[in-house]
Amino acid sequence: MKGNDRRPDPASPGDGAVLADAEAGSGDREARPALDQTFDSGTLYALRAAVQAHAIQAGLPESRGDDLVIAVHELAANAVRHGGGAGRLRMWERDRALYCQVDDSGSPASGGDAGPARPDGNVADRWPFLQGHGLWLVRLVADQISVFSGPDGTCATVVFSFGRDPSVSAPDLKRRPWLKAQRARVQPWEPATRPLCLPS
Amino acid sequence: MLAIVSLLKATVAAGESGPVVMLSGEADLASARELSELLTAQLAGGVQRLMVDLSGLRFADSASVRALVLAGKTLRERGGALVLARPQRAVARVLELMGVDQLLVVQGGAGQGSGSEAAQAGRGPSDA
Repeated sequence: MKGNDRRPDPASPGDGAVLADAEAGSGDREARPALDQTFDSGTLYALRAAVQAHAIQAGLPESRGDDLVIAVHELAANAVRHGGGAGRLRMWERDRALYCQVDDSGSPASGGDAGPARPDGNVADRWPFLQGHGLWLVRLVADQISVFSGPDGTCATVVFSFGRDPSVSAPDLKRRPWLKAQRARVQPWEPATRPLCLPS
Repeated sequence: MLAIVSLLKATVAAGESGPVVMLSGEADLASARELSELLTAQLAGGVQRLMVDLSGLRFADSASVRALVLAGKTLRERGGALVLARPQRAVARVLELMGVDQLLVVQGGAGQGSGSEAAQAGRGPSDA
């Protein structure tokens, strides 16, 4: 499939926000979102449509595009449910991967289990990471996931690599070893603080 | 301020072996309660078998799938079954990831390539 080397046009102005790479020592180019969209429970369908269109344009294989839509939707649904009813998605391409970041400004993990905050201040462990629930689903399909909850809300980021073999899907899932491998491979939280978050 | 838009459409018809619910559009948390209530209503009166035709459904999220799983659990407890028919690719993927294909009967889904089975599963409203 052609088009994998498509990049956001650096000459096109963004929405006015100056975005710097949040990841220490990261890429050669400033991250600029190809998509920057707010949402609430009534506009999740529009968010899904926009994410799918951008995934296709960026050259993500169709089946991985489906997975990306699933992942972003579930993160956004979490923001709606647990983060004050609304949020913001930013999506950008870097280092042969698509990054999607969902921010909400609500109180973190409202209604969640009252676990202690980690030393880095992350209280995202309280999010409902249960089997069959949204975040659990996100972990199955994303190549990387980072969730950080603090006093200002939650920042959740997923990474979908262009390099991943899209054939990793149904047949392996049927036998489930892939699920186990995926669970083992993806650590719940990175030790670094806000490893993938762009500044708001 | 945008109004909440539910993109889920549902129609119910009587099939040969029980009600057939046909879903179309997109099912997400904005419509999950509506879907749950619809399914619960269909389970009244000791129904043993409920078919949900997913062929018109473009998207379903985990909240919607949980509503289906709960209805399936109720039916299983009374010795019946919930049958999901003809899911499109994206919906089939969610069902698969959530392991629903092991909890409920899924017929004629995307990727199973079984046209005749899909045709069987699709009977219902027209046969009623």
